[in-house]
Amino acid sequence: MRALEDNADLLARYQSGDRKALLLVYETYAKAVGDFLLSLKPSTEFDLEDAVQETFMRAFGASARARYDGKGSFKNFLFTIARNLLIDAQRKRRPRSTLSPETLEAPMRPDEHADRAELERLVRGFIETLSNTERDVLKKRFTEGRSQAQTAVLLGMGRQRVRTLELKLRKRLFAHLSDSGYLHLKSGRQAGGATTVALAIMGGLL
Amino acid sequence: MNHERAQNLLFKAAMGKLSPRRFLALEPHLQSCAQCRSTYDSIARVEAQVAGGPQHFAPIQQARVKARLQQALRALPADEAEREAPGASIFPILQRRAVRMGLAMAAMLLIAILTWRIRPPPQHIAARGGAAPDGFTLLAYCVGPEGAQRASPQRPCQTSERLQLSYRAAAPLQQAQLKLQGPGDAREVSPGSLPASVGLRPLGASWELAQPGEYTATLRALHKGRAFIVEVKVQVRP
Repeated sequence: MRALEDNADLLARYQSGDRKALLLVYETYAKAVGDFLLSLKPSTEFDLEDAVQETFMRAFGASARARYDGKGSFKNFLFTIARNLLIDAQRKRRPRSTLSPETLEAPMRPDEHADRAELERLVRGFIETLSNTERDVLKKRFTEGRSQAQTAVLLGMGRQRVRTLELKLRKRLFAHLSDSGYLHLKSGRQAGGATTVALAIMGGLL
Repeated sequence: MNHERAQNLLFKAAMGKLSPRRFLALEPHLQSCAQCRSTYDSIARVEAQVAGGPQHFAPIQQARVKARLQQALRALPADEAEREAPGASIFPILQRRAVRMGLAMAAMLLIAILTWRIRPPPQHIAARGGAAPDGFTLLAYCVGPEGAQRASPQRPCQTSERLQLSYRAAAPLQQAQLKLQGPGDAREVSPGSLPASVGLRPLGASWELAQPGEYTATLRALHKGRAFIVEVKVQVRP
């Protein structure tokens, strides 16, 4: 997907508020905005998904659409909105008066340290078992946040192949985590015929 | 939405196959069910790790925000973001939101009636519990800067430390409720997602031990279809 400033048709539709175009804009920039917000490491806790949603809602508002003329980088335009959003949120936040086990948590508990290290080890082990093509698909889809269609074009393969490959990789990944005891996936059939799936995830190790 | 259905949808989300519409249907349950929320968070953590680490916005999170954004855009006034690209439909009546909503509700009602008839009776842990099953142990750890140490009469916790509960069992717990009572303090917390693998496994978050005295942790749980209650006492010194 080309950048919004290089795509005259999408830019015009964005400026007019075409809903499908707005969702296309979201798909193009969602990963960049989410990664950017995470990189800011705010001093107060915040809900990442709420912040990403609010960033796009502001960017999709009539005044923001009128303000963006397509001359500068749209990504930077979004980053400015995201940064301002976070600054506003931190200014408004008042000290918490209610104490609960959750709010009293230290930034990283001992079991969280262990959990993160364990997950890192398991995922690294899984990626080592993949072929170059499989790694390329994961990189485009997960790391770079490309759509399946973009991944297909970039890797010179059909979209259906990317879709099938990704599904197989996801199944293998979760099976690998299940085998190692980190994540348990279990599927079966109820008496009535409906498929049931039970997921239970290890909260961490002491 | 029942818990089983939510877990099924989360599995689909983990496979990258959950539509925005179903994500929205899952949303209220995610807000109210700590276990499903924890499952969702864990899938996001796994996906972020595949992307390169916790600094990555995971695909499942992108999909969830997209669903919420789609809904929010629909609610905007027509001059804001309502101008869809023109396109002819064979069934123009189906483009009306009220008609679509009506059909969706009728379908949901039908599914609810059908699943009500085939759903097995639920198992609740609210039933009176008996003794802990063989091989089950509830353990308390005092967690300080130097790491975690098992709490015992010889090794009481200190107010500067945190309390972490873990359990060891021959089979995973199916459901659990945890309550901590201390001097002038009683808290009921959700233990979060229950690990399905066996061995030493943590139960919920760790607790601050602000006051010296005796703390009692009570676990009410379902194990192999049987409800039971077990307690552990921890002495806390200043």
